[in-house]
Amino acid sequence: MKGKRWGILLTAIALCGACPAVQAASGEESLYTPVSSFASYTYNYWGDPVECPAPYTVTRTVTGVDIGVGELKKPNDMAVGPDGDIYLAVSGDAAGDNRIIRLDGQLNLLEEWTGYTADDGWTVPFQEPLGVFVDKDGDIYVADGASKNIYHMDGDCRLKRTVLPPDPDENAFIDEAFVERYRPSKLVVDVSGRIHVVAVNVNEGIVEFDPDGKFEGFLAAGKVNATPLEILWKKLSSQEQLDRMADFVPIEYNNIALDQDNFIFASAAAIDESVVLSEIRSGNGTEQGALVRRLNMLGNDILRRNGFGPPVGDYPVEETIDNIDATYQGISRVVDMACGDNGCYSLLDNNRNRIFTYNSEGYLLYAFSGPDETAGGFRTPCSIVQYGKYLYVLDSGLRSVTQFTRTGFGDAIADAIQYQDNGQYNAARTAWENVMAMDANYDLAYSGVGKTLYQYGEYEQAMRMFKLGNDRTWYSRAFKEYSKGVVSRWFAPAVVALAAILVVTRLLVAVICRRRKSRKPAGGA
Amino acid sequence: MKKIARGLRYAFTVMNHPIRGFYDIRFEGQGNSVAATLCLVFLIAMFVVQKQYTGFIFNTNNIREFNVLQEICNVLVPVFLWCAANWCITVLMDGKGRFSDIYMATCYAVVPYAVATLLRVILSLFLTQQEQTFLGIVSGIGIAFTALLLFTGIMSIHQFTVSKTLFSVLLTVLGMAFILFLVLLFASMFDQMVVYISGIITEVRLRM
Repeated sequence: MKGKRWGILLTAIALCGACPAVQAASGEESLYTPVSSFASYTYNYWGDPVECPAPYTVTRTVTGVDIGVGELKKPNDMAVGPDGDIYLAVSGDAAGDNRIIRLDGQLNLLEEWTGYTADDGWTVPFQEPLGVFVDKDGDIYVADGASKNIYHMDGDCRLKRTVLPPDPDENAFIDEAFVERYRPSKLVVDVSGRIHVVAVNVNEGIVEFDPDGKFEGFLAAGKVNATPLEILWKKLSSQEQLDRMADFVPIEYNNIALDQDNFIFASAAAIDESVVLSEIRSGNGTEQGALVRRLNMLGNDILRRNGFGPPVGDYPVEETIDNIDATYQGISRVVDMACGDNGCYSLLDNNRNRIFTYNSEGYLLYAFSGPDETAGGFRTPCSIVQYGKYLYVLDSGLRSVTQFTRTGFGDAIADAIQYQDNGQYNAARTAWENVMAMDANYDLAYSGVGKTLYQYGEYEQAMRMFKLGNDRTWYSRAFKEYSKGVVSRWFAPAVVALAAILVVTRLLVAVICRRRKSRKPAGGA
Repeated sequence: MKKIARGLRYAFTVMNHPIRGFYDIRFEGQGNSVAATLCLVFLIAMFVVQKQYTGFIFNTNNIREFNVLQEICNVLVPVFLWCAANWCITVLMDGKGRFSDIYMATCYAVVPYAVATLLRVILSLFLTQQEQTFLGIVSGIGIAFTALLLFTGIMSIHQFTVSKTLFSVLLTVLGMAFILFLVLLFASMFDQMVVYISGIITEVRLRM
């Protein structure tokens, strides 16, 4: 009898154990509607996509044929000049395919160069322009992959100087083999004139040239991420085994951009996906799983990652039915970055062909565009630049350039961030309320309004706003001030009340005691 | 009813005098399994309260994913696994405790943790992010207290020495893992069997 009862108990335990599995199978249904492939959205505190109005709209798309320069065979890179002109670096197999094309902000052809003009007046053709950069004076820099040179030219493509590849005779830490594989592909030039180059086949870091064009060294060499277990395993393996094992290779940067404050944004493609996924799950981004780094002059990553999740594009939540687009597996692949005002930056993902815009703190402002070519999406986007309210995306698959213009919604967010950074709290509040009117699910708008309320000392209201915006850090701050206020408001009354209660009870006790005393002899008599 | 009330009050006796308290459960007929179950229910309730009423600053649970059944499982599964594994092990190790004793001792032992959870929830309503450590301290004390009670409980009801208790606890944990493994194995086998049989049925129906 007893044994039977335990049998039932064990079955019950087994059932309990199976319970979570049953739940998982039935699917944790999200109340959010699945986001379609070409919608704008942002991620909330829990990493669920929340649809939002379009922050940008496609206003113009042109191909090489449209602008009258023939097909762009291999569009590689795009840069924006100080006046908003767009420069394209295009390569190809035929001699005439290698060129730099200059367009105005509305994507009309201004000029086309197939080579630079040398001192003697001859035009020397480009061999393989992989990257282009335009500095604040309008000087054009071109990274030529085949000749391994970087050409510094003026605005009319007249050569000023040639930056040669690093010379192994002058630098002890590079050898002939390095020069052999070195192919400069993307570059930026900061205000001091230092040239930062991302090269194909180079994983030592970003190649640095000083303003005179002399090779300086490498910046931000990727750290090798090996777990203790892997190191132990390597120690125990024989040479034959080691030869067949995958090497620990530091990450290779694939693109570079310069922000307003002259810091370098560098993206890395080959990051261990499991690391990124675990950071997405934990919600805390670190340098380990960083698809994008913001580097200072020492090569340290100073990107702020204080948002709801790490700034790594899409959060592909597998095993759930509301996975926003199950056909595209894996994490985002960042191929380029565009830096805008107030520390905002946009990442271009060529896995799902989306653009993700973050603010300086690392909050996702919005994600938009997508793989749907018929709706203005992309096939293989490769480069993105921003100029004011315009975003331009170069697509190497469609061989086209797309111009995005910011909508009222995007403008409202940009204004609000601008005012907030300038300390114009009232204006910021109005702007955030404007955003809120367009999208009541926009968490940052609530915390934005909350910050204004906080500045004006309305802590209780601010707490409410931070709660709506799911901003726990600021809620905690407002709560601290609020409770300070409560305590200082009620401390004196509380003390007085306590004293009064004490006095009254004392008096009562005294009165009762006296009564009893006076009654006792009477009762006894 | 009175018996249950006395059983509930006995939880405090156990907390104050663990060794005597647990000894009396086994050998003096103290304690009451209904009351012990109520202690367990209290813990489940506190888990739910923790999910629902922890202050906003510390509450990072998504309400959309809240599931009471899961909370119940979170408590019941480990407790019953622990009891079953411990009973299996201690029977072989000449332990004096019966299953009901183990169950009661375990249930009484979780009370401090439940109380600490409640305290934590209340504290979380008044603390800021910088004072988070206090919450950790509170639940740390609760866990330590519960662990201590669990340990003395096993020691007292089975009349083990300290080293033997340690050994039995270790074996119990291994036993829990083993049971879990068997359950999962059973579930997956059963699943395959169901798939197999349903496959045969489909096949037969298609041929009829």
